Amino acid sequence: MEKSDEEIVIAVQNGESEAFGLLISRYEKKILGYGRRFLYQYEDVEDAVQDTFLKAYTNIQSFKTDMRFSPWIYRIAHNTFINLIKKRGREPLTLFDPDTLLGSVTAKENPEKELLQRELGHEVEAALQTLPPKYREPLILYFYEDKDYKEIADIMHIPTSTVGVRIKRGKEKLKRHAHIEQYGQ
Amino acid sequence: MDNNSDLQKNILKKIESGDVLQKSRWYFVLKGCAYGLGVMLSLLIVTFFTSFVVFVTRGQGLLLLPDLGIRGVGSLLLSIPWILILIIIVFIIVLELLGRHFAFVYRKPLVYSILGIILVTVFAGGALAATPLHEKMYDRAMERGIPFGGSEFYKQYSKSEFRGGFAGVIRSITEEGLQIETLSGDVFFVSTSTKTRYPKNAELKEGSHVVVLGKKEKGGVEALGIRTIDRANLPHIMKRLKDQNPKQEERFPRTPRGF
Repeated sequence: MEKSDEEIVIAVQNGESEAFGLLISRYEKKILGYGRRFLYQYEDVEDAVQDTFLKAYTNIQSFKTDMRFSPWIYRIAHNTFINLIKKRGREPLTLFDPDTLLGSVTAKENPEKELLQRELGHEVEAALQTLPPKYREPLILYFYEDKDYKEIADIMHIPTSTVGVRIKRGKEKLKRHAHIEQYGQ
Repeated sequence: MDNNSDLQKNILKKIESGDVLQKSRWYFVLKGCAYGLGVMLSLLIVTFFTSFVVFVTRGQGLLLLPDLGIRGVGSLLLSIPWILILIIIVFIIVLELLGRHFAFVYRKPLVYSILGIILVTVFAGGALAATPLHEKMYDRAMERGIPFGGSEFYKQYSKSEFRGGFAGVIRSITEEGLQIETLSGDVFFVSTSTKTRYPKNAELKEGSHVVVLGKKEKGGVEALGIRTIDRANLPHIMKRLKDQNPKQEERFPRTPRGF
């Protein structure tokens, strides 16, 4: 029977460093995909992903075994990617976001996720890069990484309702962008 | 071999060569403890200052000022210890930032977590203010002293004079007005007129504790409002003003500080 991520982490914590390779092989494609989409215009995505795994290994003793490994590694990846964006200084990152103040009751999880996922083609992926990081990241995590609102909230450390607000606004911005591309206005 | 495998190889090589090491579990345990200590300390500070603000505003009679009308409300707003309130706000923000590490805090909108912290602060501060802690600290500050500037802190914030008025005890009543002794031992002449408000219609007599709202005039204070303080609800700070007339010196008429 295949070991769970959390069982592998326990093994690494107990000194079986080579077991960490198993975690890398399970997550490198996912984290690379997340990184390549989120850091589309950045050339050092592979380095950032490598940093993510190295940080995960360095801090593996802080992982509590009652937690899930997936949001934990995604959280490290999020921090690494955000640091890279800050370092490059190409895109503005706000210290305080008013979206986190109140959230919204209309920002519930969308039951039509699968339908929307099918609509996401290469054009949408390219259009994603026109969005500011705060809208781009939740859209990538939700539609490409298949994370739910709660998991995205845990990865980005923002209120669950804010995840909904950002996904909703991000989709609206994408639609507006597609409309401009199609009709030139 | 694809890039992804190279990535894996690189990482494992760095781990095997000892270039990358795991941080010890103790490091995280200590970090967690320091973090918990920070939260506890911030909570204690915010609770202490909140209860202290309750103690001094009540003790100076500031909470009775709204009974004296719009001027009373204005005087209350000017006399509230805003620096202490600013310190409380700063620590509420610190608590919010520390709390953002916990899922039950960051998953909720900022307004909810801030409101939660304010509620905890108000309840904890109110509960502490209901204990005799500040009364004992105040007595100690006045009698034996508190180290590390504690005495000055308590004395500074428990003066009976505030912006636009003062609290004190009536020492004598004449046809022209009242002689009122404040906590600092000053005796002022307070003139009254038909414009003076007496919200509780309480009888003014020698030995009554009062809060006076007034405007400065030559050699004394023209009272705009006088509010008596129920003996049963006398704040601790004012208990130091005995209702018996002490050896009175001819120090009046004077104008109180704070006007």
